[in-house]
Amino acid sequence: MASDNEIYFQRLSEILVQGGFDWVVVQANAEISSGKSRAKEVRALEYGELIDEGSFATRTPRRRRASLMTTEPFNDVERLGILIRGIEAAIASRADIEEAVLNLTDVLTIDFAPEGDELEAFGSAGTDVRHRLDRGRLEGGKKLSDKLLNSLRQLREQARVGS
Amino acid sequence: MSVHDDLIDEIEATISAAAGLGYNQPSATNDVYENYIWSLCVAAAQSKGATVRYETVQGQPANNLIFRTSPGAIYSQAHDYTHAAVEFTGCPPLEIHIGIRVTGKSRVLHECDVAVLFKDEADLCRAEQVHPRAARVLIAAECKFYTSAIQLHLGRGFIGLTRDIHAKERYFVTNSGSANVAKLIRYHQTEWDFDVLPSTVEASELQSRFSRAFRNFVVGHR
Repeated sequence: MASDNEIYFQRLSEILVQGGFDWVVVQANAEISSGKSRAKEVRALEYGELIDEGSFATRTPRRRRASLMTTEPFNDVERLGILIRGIEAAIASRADIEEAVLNLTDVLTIDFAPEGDELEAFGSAGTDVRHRLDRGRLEGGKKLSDKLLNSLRQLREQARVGS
Repeated sequence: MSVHDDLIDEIEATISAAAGLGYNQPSATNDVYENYIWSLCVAAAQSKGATVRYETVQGQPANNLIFRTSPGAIYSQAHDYTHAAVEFTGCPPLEIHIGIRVTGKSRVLHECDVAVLFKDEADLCRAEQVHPRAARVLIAAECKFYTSAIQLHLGRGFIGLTRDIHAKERYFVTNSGSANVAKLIRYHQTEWDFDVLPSTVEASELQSRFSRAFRNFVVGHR
C-alpha cells in the first residue's frame, strides 16, 4: 500500500504535468533514478607480488580495507523532498530571478526573441519562445511565490520532509 | 475533504496561476537565468569603476533591451540584440554578450551563455561576419537552470568546453548543485558556482570573482 508521501508525490507530479511543468517532474525523476552515492569501506582481496619458489610461483592474497563507491535509493520522504524543491525552483526562484534582473538592469521590460522564425511552444518542451520580463508583473509573481512557499512549507511539515 | 486535500488543491491553484505567467516554459526560465548572470557580470564591471551602456548590434544605444533565446552569431541582425559596452579608463573597451558562438582552439564553434570579450574583436566579427576567437574572450560562463540536481553529463561537457576555449576565467554557474559534478569539476581545476540565486552568498561570491577578473584586466592594461 502506498505511503502518504508516495501519494503526495504522485498527485503533485500529475498536477505539474497538467500545468505544463512536466520538465520539473522529468528532472526530479532523473535525480531520483541516479540515487545517492556514498563511500563504503570494504575488505577487498588483493593479490601481492609474484613469489618465485623454484618449481612454481605463487601470489600471496591478502585482504585490505578499501573505500569504494556505492549507490543507495532515495526513500519516499527524500523523493517527495526532491519534487518539492523542484517546484520551489521553477516558481519561487523564477519570480526572484525576474525581480533581480529588472533591478540590476534598471529597466521596465526586457524582451527575449529567437533569431529565426518564431516557433510555437510544443507543450512545455518549447524552445525559442518569444517572451518578456515586465516590471508590471513582478508583484503578481512575488505574491504567487510567497503563497506557494507557505503551502509547500506546510506540506513539508506534514510529510516530515527536510528543507 | 481532509486538510491534506485542501493543501494539495491550494498548491494546484498556485501552479496553475504560475503557468498563466509563463513560468512553465523551461527555455524561458533558462533565458532569464542567463540574463541574471549577465547582469551580475555587468554589475561587477560597474563596481570596478567601468562606465557601462547598453548597445545594439549596430553600435547604437539600446532603447529597449532584447536578448537571444538561443545562442547565435555575434554579427546577427535578426533583431537589435543588446550587449553591454564596458569602458575602464585607459584600457581597451570590452563588451558583455549573452548567447554568442565562439571559436575554440580546435576551430569548432562553441556556445557561450555569457561572454566578455574585447570590443575590437567584436567589431572585427561584426564587420567580417565571423565568430570571435576564444583567446579574445576574457570571461565566459556556462549557465544552467535546473529544478533538481544537475546531471553529470553537464559537468563532463563543461570540462570538455574548457579544454577548447581555455580554462582561465571560465565558469560553470547553476542555481542547483550536485556533489558529483562539484567533485568532477574541482578535480579538473575549473571554476564552478552552485546555488547561485538572488540574495544568496553564492551570488555575491560569483559577482566578486567577476570583479576580480575585471580588476586583473585593468591592472594588466595600465
